[in-house]
Amino acid sequence: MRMLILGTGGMAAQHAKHFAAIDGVSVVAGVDVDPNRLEKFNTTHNIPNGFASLDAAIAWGQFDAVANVTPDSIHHATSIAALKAGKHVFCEKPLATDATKAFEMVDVAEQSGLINMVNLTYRNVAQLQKAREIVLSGAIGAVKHVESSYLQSWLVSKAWGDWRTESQWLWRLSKKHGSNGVLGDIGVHILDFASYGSGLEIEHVFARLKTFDKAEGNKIGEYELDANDSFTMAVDFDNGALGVIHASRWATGHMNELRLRVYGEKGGVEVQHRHDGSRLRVCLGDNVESGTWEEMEAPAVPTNYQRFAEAVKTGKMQEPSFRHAAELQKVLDLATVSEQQRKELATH
Amino acid sequence: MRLLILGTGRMAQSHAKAFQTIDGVEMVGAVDTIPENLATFCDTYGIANRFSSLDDALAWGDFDAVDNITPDSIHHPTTLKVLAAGKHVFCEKPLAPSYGLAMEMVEAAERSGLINMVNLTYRNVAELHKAREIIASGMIGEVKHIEASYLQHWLALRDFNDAANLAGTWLWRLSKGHGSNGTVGDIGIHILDFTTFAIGQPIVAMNSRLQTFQKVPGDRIGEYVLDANDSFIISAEFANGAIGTIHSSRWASGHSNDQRLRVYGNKGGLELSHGHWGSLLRVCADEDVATSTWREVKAEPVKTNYQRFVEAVRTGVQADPDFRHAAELQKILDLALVADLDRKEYRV
Repeated sequence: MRMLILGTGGMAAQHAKHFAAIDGVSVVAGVDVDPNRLEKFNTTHNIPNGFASLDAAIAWGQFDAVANVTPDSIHHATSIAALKAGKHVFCEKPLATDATKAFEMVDVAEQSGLINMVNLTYRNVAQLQKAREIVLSGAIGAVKHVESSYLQSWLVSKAWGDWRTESQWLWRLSKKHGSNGVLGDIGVHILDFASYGSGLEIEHVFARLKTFDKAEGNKIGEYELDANDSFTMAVDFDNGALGVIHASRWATGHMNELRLRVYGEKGGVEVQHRHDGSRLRVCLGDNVESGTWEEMEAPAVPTNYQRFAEAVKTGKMQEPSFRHAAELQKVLDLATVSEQQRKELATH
Repeated sequence: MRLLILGTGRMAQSHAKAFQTIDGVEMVGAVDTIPENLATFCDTYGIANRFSSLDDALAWGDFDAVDNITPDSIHHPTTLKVLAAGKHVFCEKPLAPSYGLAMEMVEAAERSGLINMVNLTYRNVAELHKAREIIASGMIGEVKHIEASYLQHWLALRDFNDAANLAGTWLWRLSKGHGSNGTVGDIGIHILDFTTFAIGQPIVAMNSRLQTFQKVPGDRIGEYVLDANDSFIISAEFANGAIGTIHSSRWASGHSNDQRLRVYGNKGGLELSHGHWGSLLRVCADEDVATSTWREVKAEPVKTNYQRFVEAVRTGVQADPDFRHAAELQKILDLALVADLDRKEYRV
């Protein structure tokens, strides 16, 4: 598979490294509007061809698939252009800035018959995959109750830098700079973590979003600090189970931690994914009577990059698809409406 | 202090055992409508005066205070009579089945000037008091984000299918017609108190979801219609603007009776777990924030509700949790039932 990297900023290095490491995959070109950044990127990753626009790359055409690592608001136009040119697309999350745009991408992708996947990175966590496998096997019975959190603390801790002075953090606090806050940044990850891990679809959502005062007048230089810092969602799933899904950038003591607790009528599973490792704990079978939890090993799983390469090779779609990401985007859109109307909304 | 035990059922055992050990307390009388229960109880604890009604006990009148351990729906009329007779009252939770009735008890108690307390048992957990002290000290700064859960698993246990056990102990808790408000009524007040006592902030706005899962075909066992809620989620905003989720389930396989509270502020985080296994309080603050390091904090033992009631009667100084506090929590529980019906947020 000949891979084109579209957009050579932040996350692109990860894509280039991961794809280059896969047998049968070669990264043949990079695209960026910034010629200096492009040249540096291509040199670093040994990429032979560079283009200043996607159109120019498509005119050239010597590639099979695109890794779309453009800014969020550009995913829509570029993915559709790539699909229309007959190229498979591996798109960074979020698929689009709203569900309507995301479903337009789904329509084009599904009509094309091409491979379309979204890089929901926590699918690479073996413990999440194992938890899902246990749930789908019926070992915990029908799921009744779910709690899932994505906790960060960069508004308190300076471990990742100082948001008060660094533009890489400040834009994430400001709507005008394209941020939908913690909801837009990591909401899709924890929605996927919760629903994929529990094997359930969200039916209804009530959400609260919160933007706390952070600076005098909630403004630092050109940045208005108006994007949300925390959210809570109370949901129900298609089987009637209730769930709590929440996230915060104020969760002191948690650098970047995803947790999932799934309780069924026959057992429970708990996943904890941290910057320094992951754990899967299970309470199954006779252990349910005594409430005994055991740690379970999870074998390594193929990454999204590997599964995309596999899908292109075999011609068989793999998850997470554009459609799946669009369904999650719908929940994120509803969360914003729910916060305004202060009532629960249905996803279908 | 001369104490009258009103109601000699299951919970009365732990009350009697606790009061028995406190210096200066004498259990001088007991009341129950079932003569055998009354006799066994009084024989066990060496109680001399036995009454088949509260009225008879009040006519006798040779006691200072009443420990009210009657069924939930009887707390209100009995407590009002006791207060009118000039006796101090220590009442089991919940104070009353509704906020309106609870407030009548508050008004009567406050007019009387008598000691009035409610037995919110988790106030006996030393680590909860320590958590409150740490948060009040400002060590974790302004609280921003909260998650609290009370997880039980008895609906998932084999024991639950044991007919005798079911009928005697559990079945009424699943049935509205038998006076149960399900999980909300049973343990809702505990986790609300656990949360709001620790953070020192009342809830000002809330929404809720309740769920009743099918447990048997037709949702009925004999005379018991199984219509009371098994799980709930309360989405809450607190007085200082923090947001949080408080949730509970009887289906949480692997957790026999576990409370967990996670509180994050703009200077630190605090996590408290409590179960039959004990308690664990952990804090991440000060120089630990940068590395997300958590440290266990030990707590000195605290006086129990029983001890504090005795002390309050002796000194004449009211102690917590008082009737008013329990009534405020009852208001939230009442709203939880309403909010679940129309799925929108309510101001408290």
